[in-house]
Amino acid sequence: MRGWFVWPAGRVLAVAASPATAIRDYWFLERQRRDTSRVAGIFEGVIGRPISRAEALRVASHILEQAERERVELAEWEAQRGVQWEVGE
Amino acid sequence: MIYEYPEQSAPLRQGDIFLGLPRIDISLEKVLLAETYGERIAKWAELAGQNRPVNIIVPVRPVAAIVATQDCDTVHSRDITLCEIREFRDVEGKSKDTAAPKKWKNIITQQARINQKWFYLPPDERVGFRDKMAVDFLVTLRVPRADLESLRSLRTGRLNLIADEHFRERIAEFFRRYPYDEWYPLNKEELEAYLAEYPDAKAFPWQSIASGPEKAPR
Repeated sequence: MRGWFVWPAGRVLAVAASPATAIRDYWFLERQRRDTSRVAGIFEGVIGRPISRAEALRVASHILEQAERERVELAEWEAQRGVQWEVGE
Repeated sequence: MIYEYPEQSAPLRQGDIFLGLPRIDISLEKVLLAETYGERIAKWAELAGQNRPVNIIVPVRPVAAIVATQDCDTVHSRDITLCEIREFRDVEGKSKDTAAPKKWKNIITQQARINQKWFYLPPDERVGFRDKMAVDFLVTLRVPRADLESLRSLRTGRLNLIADEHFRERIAEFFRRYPYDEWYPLNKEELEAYLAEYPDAKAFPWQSIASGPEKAPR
């Protein structure tokens, strides 16, 4: 048996501290309104290179926002493709 | 509603609802290494073969979540798995503009039979849900059991018996699903109607619309 494993001892930084509640998530919705295409290209040139702590935190924040945006987009896409039955008044 | 409000000393159970547990998001394309002499960004493919632990920076956000681990494992297991709870409108896109009770009724009952990716949770002020919510089975969290036990102050409720039985079965159904192309048994006319609605679907060899009569499978 190949004996390797990787243990990412994650140093977790809370980059977004808005509390989890049932309240409408304005933190996320506000970011949904941004021009995401501009954000997407920002970090393309830094892979493999040292970066500052500030840059690392910006990338982390971007990863979080992108993940949440993609989950909402998936739900909307599936809503278009799913069973379109009558849910009339 | 469908909830109970356990004492803080009550043991962990499947269906327990927590507010404020950490959900981590990670990118395998942009791994933020925290190294001795500073930070570096790398791809996980580069790190995977190095056979050593690494320290990374990851974003984490407090979210609402429900215990998915079954009861016997919540006693001894080292880790507890939870599913994230989000607003229903964000999990089930069909409900985005829904307002009328009759439409809600249809979505909550009928749609729940079809879409096995979520579990509906009604509003409850005491639990902390001001709107309709849903468990998103696609998004899981893992936390140490002992740590979660010591954080039972964040537990705001749990599913009652009826809801918990339903929840348990829905989790099982979600992971028991298998992918298949639902249009495979349609005949020519049915497939044409299906393609009009879902143009991405690809006809199977026995459904060739252009080739005339269907051939019997061998």
